[in-house]
Amino acid sequence: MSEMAMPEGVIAGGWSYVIAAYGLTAVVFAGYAWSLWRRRREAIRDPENER
Amino acid sequence: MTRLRWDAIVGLVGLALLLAGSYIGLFEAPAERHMGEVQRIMYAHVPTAWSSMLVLTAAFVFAIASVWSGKAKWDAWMTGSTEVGVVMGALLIGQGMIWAKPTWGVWWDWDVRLTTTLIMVILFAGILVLRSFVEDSERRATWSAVAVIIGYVDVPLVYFCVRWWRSLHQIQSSPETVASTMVTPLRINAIAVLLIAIWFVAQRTRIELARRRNESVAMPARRARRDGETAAAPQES
Amino acid sequence: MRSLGQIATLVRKDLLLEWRGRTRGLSVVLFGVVTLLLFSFAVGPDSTALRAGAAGFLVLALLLSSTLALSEGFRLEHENHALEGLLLAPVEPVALFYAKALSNTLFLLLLAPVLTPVAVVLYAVDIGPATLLQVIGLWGLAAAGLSAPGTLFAAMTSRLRSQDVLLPLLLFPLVVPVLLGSVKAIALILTGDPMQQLPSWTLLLAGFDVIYWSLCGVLFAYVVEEGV
Repeated sequence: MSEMAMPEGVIAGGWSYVIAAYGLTAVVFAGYAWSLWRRRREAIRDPENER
Repeated sequence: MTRLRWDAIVGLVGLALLLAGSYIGLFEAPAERHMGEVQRIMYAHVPTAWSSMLVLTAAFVFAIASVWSGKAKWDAWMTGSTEVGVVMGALLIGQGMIWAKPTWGVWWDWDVRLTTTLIMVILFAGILVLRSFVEDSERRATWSAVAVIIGYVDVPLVYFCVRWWRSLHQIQSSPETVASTMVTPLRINAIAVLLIAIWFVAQRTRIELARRRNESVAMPARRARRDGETAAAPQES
Repeated sequence: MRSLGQIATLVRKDLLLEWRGRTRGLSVVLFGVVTLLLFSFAVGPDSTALRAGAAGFLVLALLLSSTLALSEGFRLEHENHALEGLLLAPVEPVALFYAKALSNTLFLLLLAPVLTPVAVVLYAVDIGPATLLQVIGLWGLAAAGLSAPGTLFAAMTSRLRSQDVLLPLLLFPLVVPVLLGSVKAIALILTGDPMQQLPSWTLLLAGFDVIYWSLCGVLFAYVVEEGV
């Protein structure tokens, strides 16, 4: 299962890593956006219980 | 509170650009000669690196403004920038690890930039933790701003130090030279990620401002309750 | 220069308090020794590995002991509201900072003559008196690098609930340059420096010290000004 970089060659099976990287980015962006949306609703709704 | 429309536009444009740039980077740009398809990770990784650094620099500027003026809005902007900087820094580390595994065969190769990012993410996350323990809003603002200033000054120090430290051992450089044919998706994504980061910062800032407002309303009531309940142990005033 | 006089007085006060309560200081020293022991257990009785890591273990022991010393430094001040008294005296916050940071540095420096021989014995390091002095000198630079931001953060965290966690959490990432620099420098002192790298690392440490002793001195006033 060699995915090591060869001096003059091409890395085989790279697409899975590319997908992983873009997928991670998408998940983090979406997840953080959702977290922001959720916290904003709490902040607007609950003055007493916030923090 | 007036809806800030500008940030919604910024966010949407950023998202559109990110989709466009990523499409080009993934499907239309040529594969790199040595690294093959793995190179395409750079169209996400490099923009994330630039944005996280810019956002943390903004946090530093806001921190100075906060300490100087004492105004709540600078504290809010600083908090927003710091949190987004931490999130993007953490993402950067994840992307870097995914890139490193096929390239170097290991998940972590002590790359100077990633190592510095890791240290800085922990540091600035710690400052966010500090904030959660300080109840008085003015003290929270001042203390975390001071910490951000101290932390940001550390960034070049850590960077150069790790670089010297590494240069004595293996010399594995991370090739980040980009061929001219690949500049377009990189530029598009760079702007895209920055716009998205700005949108994140704006949202987080608004949350912080809302919380500040809630505090000034809730504080007298909460203080009355607390003083009535507990014997005044001088833990935190 | 009234401030210099204030600093001297405050340092003397801190050292006197430290001497009077010296069991506290002793416990920090013992903690350092225990840490050195723990590293030996972590690595195993392999003298080559231990010797190779000796500089790192020493610096880590210093670092871990420093958080105890730093938080202790402010606990007394807060217990009797002594800090407010000082600020009302009036003592300049700047003077207060430099006095505290200096006291902390001196205290950490005192760990060196105890911990270094222990490390020498445990890790089978060859060391002469000249080398020992060099190590202590470098230790001093490292201690100063830890004390400046450490004093400032300790002033903050000693007021808070989770201070035991917060101080290391904030301090350790910040002082990575001190950590890396002093480990490298001390390792070079212990094992020889064929490529003359020691001056660069010493310069890095000194640079860090200068930057943070200035910066933290300026910022300390903001940390203690509001209702300490």
